[in-house]
Amino acid sequence: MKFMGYRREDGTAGVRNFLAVIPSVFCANKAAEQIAANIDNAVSLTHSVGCSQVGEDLEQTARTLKNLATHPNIGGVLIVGLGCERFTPQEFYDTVKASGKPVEKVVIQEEGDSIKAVKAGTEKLYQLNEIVNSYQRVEIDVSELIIGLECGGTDATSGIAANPAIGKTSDILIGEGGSSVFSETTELLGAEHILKRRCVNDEVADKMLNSVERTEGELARATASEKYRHRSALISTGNFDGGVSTVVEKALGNIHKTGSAPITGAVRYAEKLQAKGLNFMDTPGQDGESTTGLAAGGAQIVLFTTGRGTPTGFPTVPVIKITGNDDTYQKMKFNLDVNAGKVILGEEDIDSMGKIIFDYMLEVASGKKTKAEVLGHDELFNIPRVLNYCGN
Amino acid sequence: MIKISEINILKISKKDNVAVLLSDATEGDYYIYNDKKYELNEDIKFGHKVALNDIKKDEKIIKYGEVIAYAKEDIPAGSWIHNHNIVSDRGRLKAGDDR
Repeated sequence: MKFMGYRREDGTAGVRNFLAVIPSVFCANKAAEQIAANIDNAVSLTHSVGCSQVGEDLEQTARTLKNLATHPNIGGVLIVGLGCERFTPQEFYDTVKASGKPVEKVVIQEEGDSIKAVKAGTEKLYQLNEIVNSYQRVEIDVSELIIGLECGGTDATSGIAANPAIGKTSDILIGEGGSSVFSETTELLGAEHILKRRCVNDEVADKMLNSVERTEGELARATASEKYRHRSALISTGNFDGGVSTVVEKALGNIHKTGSAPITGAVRYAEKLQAKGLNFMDTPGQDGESTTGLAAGGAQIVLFTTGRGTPTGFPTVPVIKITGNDDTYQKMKFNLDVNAGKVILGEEDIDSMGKIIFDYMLEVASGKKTKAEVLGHDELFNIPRVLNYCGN
Repeated sequence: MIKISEINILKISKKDNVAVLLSDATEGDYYIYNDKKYELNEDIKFGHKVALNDIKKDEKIIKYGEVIAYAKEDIPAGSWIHNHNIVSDRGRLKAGDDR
């Protein structure tokens, strides 16, 4: 089975051909936005990190930005630096260059000021665009696809319709030789014993269980104080209103996203996947930070289930929205791509809905825009911090 | 006048002692479970859970065939099951009293 995608210099395959303008530090955000606004097909990936970070905190930022810049959905990269940041524009540039992807950089303090940097950056981006525009879609096997499995705004329909349906989609893709990746460690609490049985070996199981244990310890520490007793609920008001009562109930519904394939790999946040098949990535439960990790890990498309409904998207990866709630679909047709509520209405079953989503995903892989792309949604790009220095 | 009708509920796993409502229902509406007729003790919304049989305080609440929480009080069959009457301690040192 094939789709029409872009073959990259390092051998990977993309479903989009973006020109990415990426700041190495938040201080260069506005310049990056202004440069990207000047050229058709360019997107800016502005963020809040890159300065005053050390150790694992700095490494996580560096790994995320490098893996997003070398992602196969991107044809060419312009790095915009300030000049004094810890994550240096030169280190960033060297990594992208080594992947073979066309890359340029502009540094504000070297150009003189931000206006001069925007002018110099726009000229470089113009040249990059000529290269990137020459790329054509070619036939690529679906076994080269990696899909991210994400959920946000969960209600009770997610666990019985939308999540099992994308679990089926994931099973179909893995059956064709492709890969998928699930994340959101906070949303595994209470379901980890079930997933453990599906891990291919102890190493994968231990990595996943250690992530759950560490996360639960952090949560316990953060909510221990009596003064936070009204802020200790792990699930949102929307989850509660939608009929989800406990974090374990949410987790048991959540893991249906993973279908039935064996779990072949477990990776750190934003680390590139190594194993074919179904992978686990250790990420926060927040939609943006999780989706950012999945994209950096190599997912070219994200399947995002939402019972309550959310409009969000990612700047360089198509996000397909699937709801298991027919009411939500009818209300949010401009934001939601697939109505898996048909399962609850009895018009489709999990298997047929999984296939509908698979076919839709292949169309998106070949260029069809998702609703989030059409409306320009890009708010899911969020890089989490490992360290923060605020006492509480 | 309360409109009385049979409701559509989904019991996901054989082991479950709760079921999910597949549409909004009103107090007095009924469901058939193990050949017995049960009436809802209160209004329950689409997606929310109903106790299929009488559940004692501290008894396990089972959905998807797994323990999702424990009963905070005795819960009669036909009652709405939510965070007001069940609790799980996963992910925090002790259960807070917020939603």
